Amino acid sequence: MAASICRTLKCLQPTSCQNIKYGSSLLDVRLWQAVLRVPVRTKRRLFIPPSANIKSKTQDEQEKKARAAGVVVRQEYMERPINISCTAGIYDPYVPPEGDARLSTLTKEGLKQRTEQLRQTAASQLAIRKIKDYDSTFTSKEFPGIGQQIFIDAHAALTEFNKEKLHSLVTERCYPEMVRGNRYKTLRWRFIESLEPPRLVQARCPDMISKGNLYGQVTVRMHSRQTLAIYDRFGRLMLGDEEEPRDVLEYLVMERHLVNPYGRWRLHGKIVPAWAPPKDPIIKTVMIPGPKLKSGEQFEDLNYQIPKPNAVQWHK
Amino acid sequence: MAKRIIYPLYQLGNPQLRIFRPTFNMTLVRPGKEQPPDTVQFRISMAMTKCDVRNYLEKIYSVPVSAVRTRIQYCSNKKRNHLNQRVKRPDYKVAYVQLAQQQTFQFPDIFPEKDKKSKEGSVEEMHEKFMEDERQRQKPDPRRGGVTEWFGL
Repeated sequence: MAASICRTLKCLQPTSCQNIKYGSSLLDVRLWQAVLRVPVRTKRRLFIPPSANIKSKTQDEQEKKARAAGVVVRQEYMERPINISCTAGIYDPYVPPEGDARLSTLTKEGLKQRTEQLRQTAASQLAIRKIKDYDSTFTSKEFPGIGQQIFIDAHAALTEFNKEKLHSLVTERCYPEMVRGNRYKTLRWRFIESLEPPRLVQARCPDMISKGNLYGQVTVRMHSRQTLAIYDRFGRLMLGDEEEPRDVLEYLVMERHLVNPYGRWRLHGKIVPAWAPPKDPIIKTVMIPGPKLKSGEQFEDLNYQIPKPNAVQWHK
Repeated sequence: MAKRIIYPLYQLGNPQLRIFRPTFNMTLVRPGKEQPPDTVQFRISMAMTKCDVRNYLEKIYSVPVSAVRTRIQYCSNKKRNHLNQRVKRPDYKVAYVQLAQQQTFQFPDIFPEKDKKSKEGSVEEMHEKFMEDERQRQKPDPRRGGVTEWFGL
C-alpha cells in the first residue's frame, strides 16, 4: 500500500504543486485522484503467455496452431434441428394503418382506413375458412377473446417464470423473445382492463416443407391498459412503474399447427408498426459506444451524431 | 548422325539468319512487398548482370526498359540432410526492372476467388437473410441496458 501510494504521488509530482508531502492523508490522495485519473500498476509481466492473445485470433489461425501442435480433430457433422411445431416467422405480416386507435371511424381518415381494411380481408376470409376446416371451434368473433386470455396467461407465467406453462402457451419461436434479457431481473406485469374489445384483423395459412403441412397464423389487435415494472438483481427499479397504468396497442400473432389434431393456439409474436411511439428510456445511465479517439483528439471536435434507427415495421 | 542445320558464312552486310539465345533464364515472380506499378520483379541467374537483363528484355521481348536494379538474396543455412550435415540452399539474384514509356505491369488473376454470394431470389439467399436478421435480433440494444424488448409499454 505504501509503495503504490508513493508511486501515485510520484506521478502527481510534476502536475501538482510542490508542497504535497509524502505524509499526506488518504483524503488528500482521494481528492487528487478525483481530479486526475492516474493508473496504478502493481505488477510487471515479464512473460506474456501465448494464450493471452488467443481471443484476437480467428478460427482459421486457431485451427492452424492446433494442427501444428499435433491436435487431430475428427470431422464433425453439423446437424441442425428442424422444428415443425411452429413456423420460423410471421407469414405476410399485417400492416397496421397509421393512426390506429387514435382516429375515429367517423372522420374522413378513419373512413378511408376502413375502406383499405376491407380490401385486405379477402385473403383473410379464405384463410379463416381453411382454419375452420381443421378447427371446428374456431370463430372469428370468439377467437380474439381466447387470444387475449392466452396472452394474459402467458405473461402471468412469464412473471412467475413457470417454464412448463410458458412453453404450452407460447411457440418455440416466441419463447426466446420473451425470455431474452430477463435473467437476474424481476418482472411485475399486470393486465388492468381492455380498452377496446380485441379484434381479429388478419389470418393466413402458410405451409412448411410440404403442401399439406398447414399452419394457421391469426393476428389479433388488442388495445388494453397494462402496468410493467422491471427490477434489477439488487431490487432497484430499471423500467416502468408498478402503479401507473399505460395504454398499449398491440398486434398479437397466434399460431397453431392445423394438421396436428392435438395442436393448440399459442402466442407466436407481436407486430410493431412503423409509427409506434418510442419507448421510455430506462432509469439508469448507459454508455453508448462511439468512435475511437486517436491520441490528442477531442471528442467535441468530431461533431459526432448518434445514429437514429429508421422507423420500420418489425415483429418480435 | 543427325543432320545439323548449316548456316551460310556470315559476311558484313548479309542478313542475320541465326538467333542467339543465352543459357540464362528469368522468372517473373510476384513481389512480396508492394512495388510501383511500373516495376517488375524477376528472379534471375547469378551470372546475369544488369546489362544482360536489359538486353534480354529489349532484344528478345521488345520490352522498353528504363532502369534495372539487382540484389542477391541470401538463402537459409539451417536445413540438414540425413547425415545431420548443414545444407545451404543456393542464393539467388533478384532483379527489379523499371519499365519505360509509361508502361505498367500487373499480375493477372488466373484463379479468381469464386463469388460466394447466392443468386437473387434463391432459397440460400433467403436463408442467409433470415440468419442475418436473427443474429441482429439477438444483439442487445446498448441504449436499453439489457432490458427485454418484448413488452409494448
